[in-house]
Parts: sequence; structure tokens; C-alpha cells
Amino acid sequence: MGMGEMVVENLSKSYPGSGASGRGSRLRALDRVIFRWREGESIAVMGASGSGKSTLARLLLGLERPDAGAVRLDGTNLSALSVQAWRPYRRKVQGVFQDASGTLNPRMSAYVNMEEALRNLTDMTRRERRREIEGLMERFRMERELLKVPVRSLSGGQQRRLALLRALSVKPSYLVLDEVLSGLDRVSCDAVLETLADYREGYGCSYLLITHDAYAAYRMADRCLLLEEGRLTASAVKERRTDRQAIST
Amino acid sequence: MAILKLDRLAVTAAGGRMLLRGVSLQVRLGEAVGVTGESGSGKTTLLKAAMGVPGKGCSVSGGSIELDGRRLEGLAPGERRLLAGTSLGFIPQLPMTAFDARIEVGRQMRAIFRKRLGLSRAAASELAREKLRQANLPDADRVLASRPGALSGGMLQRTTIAILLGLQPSYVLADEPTSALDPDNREAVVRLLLQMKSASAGLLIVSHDPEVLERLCDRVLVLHDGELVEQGSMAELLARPRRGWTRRFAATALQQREGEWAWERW
Repeated sequence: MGMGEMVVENLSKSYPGSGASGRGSRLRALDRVIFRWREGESIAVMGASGSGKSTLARLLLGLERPDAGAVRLDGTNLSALSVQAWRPYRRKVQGVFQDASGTLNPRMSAYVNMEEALRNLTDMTRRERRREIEGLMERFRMERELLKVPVRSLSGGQQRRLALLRALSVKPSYLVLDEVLSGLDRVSCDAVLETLADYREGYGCSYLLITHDAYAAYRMADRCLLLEEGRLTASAVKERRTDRQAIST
Repeated sequence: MAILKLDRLAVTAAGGRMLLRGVSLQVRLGEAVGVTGESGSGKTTLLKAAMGVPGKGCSVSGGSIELDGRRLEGLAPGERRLLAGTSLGFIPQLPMTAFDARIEVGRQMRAIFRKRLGLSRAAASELAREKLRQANLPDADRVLASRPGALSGGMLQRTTIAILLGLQPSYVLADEPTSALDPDNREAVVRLLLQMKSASAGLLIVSHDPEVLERLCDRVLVLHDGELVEQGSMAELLARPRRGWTRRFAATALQQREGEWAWERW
């Protein structure tokens, strides 16, 4: 593994403006964003809706190209690669989004959905794929029966966890998580956080967690960045409260 | 008698499934009552029933809902609408659902204030501006001129609250009012709810956010499968959770307090 890192260099992105800001204007979604994401490190990115968080996720995953700047993985400029050239990195850098239906085909069974990632991105045999998928389901305490039903008949929370397992199944080094906890109640949210922490301990995956939730960020990440109107404006490290403070607040 | 009172309320879904199995609770003026519990335990059903509008296909199959001595469960839709806003206010989880996406926020606010409070056009506009500023939306003119889709979720949620600050309903029911918001907007919404409470509105708040429940609510009720299974102050629930879900909830709430981010501006 070594000491890899993803370096985000002066990343900027804008989109054609909407009616409110006038014709021909451009909406600046990201403005010269710079940070380093070292292998093994987990970062939370917090910000209000519209602050550019999802744009950042899409650029890190090569789903869109920046207007300027670059995302470098161990020296390779990922932003300059074609979709084809991105493929070998897809296994290393995975993403899960709030809306699981973007990754999962609702009409196919959960198993077919899970297997597709392994088939495309690894050279596992059919039997190895089955063993891997069933192992993950067991490890994350999801019933094996769920694999047989079409994804659309699963609950939102189950779909979210399945999309997460699908991404984890290829053993990525970097995982971008875009609002994967929103809409889950505290206890389900905690189950997902535990899954992630557990996996990180076992495989050393690094997370970039995009979230509104300071609590989830605190549990998940080593440090935290604040995105405001497309710019990184603050960063945070953890500070433990003393017991006395905990009681009085 | 100023009180919002549910007495052994039962709600049944279209297929005959019981969503609420005899829930009793009371909210007095100036008091905040929290309701929590796992997804599917009946929290939203409870709020809808308390609003007098049980969800699609659902009906009140037992018990009663009483607002200041008046029974709500049998009211005709027209009579119920008269209560909306001035007697009972509602804050949804996703504020977008409270607005018409095609019409500027200002027109919608004015229409509500004119209709509910009998104000002139000019007075309604003035009130809208004043209440938006009170809800920490200093650029009131921009908010008024925008369609709902052009505002962030946090700004819209504050706008919903600005409307309620104008109408001053006796009771406010809120469904996960902070769960879709970023930390700054969340804090702003908590403060506005505290303001309403100290202006002696009665609040009934469904939430999973331990901080919201603790800072706002005098009592917290835990729903499980349509029944109230535990209640107490948030501090009591955290100290002595009895059932499985409440125990896990308490554990995460306590963990949440173990530390926080120390921010540094760049």
C-alpha cells in the first residue's frame, strides 16, 4: 500500500447560471479548492446545501471534469483522464451517494447489483464473488435473503447499506461518501457508522464523508473541512470535552 | 381550558393495520413535548392525527383529540382549515413541502397573512419583512422576491418559522424540524423554537436529535409500534433508558457529547 495520497489542487468548477442570476452568468460551484487526503486518513467535509459539496464528490470520482485545477492520485492527474483511462482507478476510488438508485438498478436483485461491481472491477471467479458477497452480508449483519429480492422492494435504509457494501466489496483505498447518512434515524445512522469504522479497521480504507451532521463527522473523521459557497473556509481538529463540561451542556 | 390533549388516540391504516394504539398526551401553553422512536413507530402519524389530518387512507379509530376544549377528530375539513396557522401551526421536515414551488415566497406569505389575520396588502408585506428579519433572514426583500426553489433548505425552514412568528399559533407541531439542516441553520431553528416557547406557544416536536430534545423539551415520549413505551425528561431517559431502542439512542446521545470540533478560520 505505501503512503499514497490524493492531492486536490486549485479545483474550480462552474455551471451555466439559472434564471435568478441572469442569462449567460455562470454559477461558481467550486472555487480554487485545495487539500490533501492521505491514505489511511478520514476527512469530513461539512457545508450548507448549495455550498459545492456534491460537486466536489463528483470531481473526486471523475464523474465530471473541473474547469481548472486537478485531482492527483499518487502523482497521476485523474482529472485529465478519459472515461476509459479512469477505469483502472475505479477500483481504488469508489463513491456512494445519498440516492442509492444512482448506483443500484432497482429492477435487478440485490445480488446481481452487488456482483456487477466485482465482475467489472476484479478478476474474481463466480464462486469467489459469491463468497465475497455473502461474507460481507454476514459481516454487516444483513440477512442473506435480501440478496434475492429486487432492490426496489427494499427500504431506503437497506438500499443505502447495500450501495455501501457494493462499494466496499471491491476494497477501495479511497471512499467518497456523499450524504449517505441523511434521512436515517439515529440508530440506523449509527449502524452505518459502525459498519464503516469496522471496515476501516480491517482494510485501512480512507473516507471522505460529506455531511450536514457534526455528530457523524465527529465519529467518522480525523479532521473536518468547511465548504462555503464553493470555497474551503475553515478546518477543524477534534477537541475532547471534559466530563464536567459534558454534564453542564 | 388551554390544552392540546390526545386521549387514547388510535389510528388505523387502510388495510386495517393499527398505526397508533391508544396514545395519550397533553401539551400546555409554554410547554414543549418531544416525541422520539425508531422509524415506523408512528411519530409522523401522531403529528398528522394531532393536526386533525390523518394520512391517506388512515382514520382515527378510537380516542379523541381536543384543542382548547374543542374536539378535532370529527371536524369537517373546512372547519379544520380555520384552525390552521392561528390555533395550530406546522413545521415540516422538508420546508419545500409547505410552499407552492411556482409562486414567489412573498406572494405566498402575504396571502397567508391577509387571509388568516385579515391584514391589508401593505400591512401583510410589512409583517412578512419584519418576521423574516426576526427569523434571521436579513435580506428579506430577496427572500420575498424568490421562488421557493431558489432558496436553500435552511432559508426556507426559517421562512416557514417566520410565517408562524407572524401568525402566532397557540400550538406548533414540528416534524423533524432540524434533521435536513446544516449546523448553523439547525442552531437558528432551535433558537427560534425556544423563542416561540417562551412566547408561551405549546410545542409538540418529533425529533431524533438528542440536543433538540434536551434543549427544547420539558418531557420526551418514546413511541414503539404505535404505543408510548417510555417517558421522562431527556436527562432521565439518557440516565435510565429501559428498552432496547431507547438504550441505543441514549448511548449515541451520550457519545455525541464526548467532544466536538475545534474550528479554525482560514
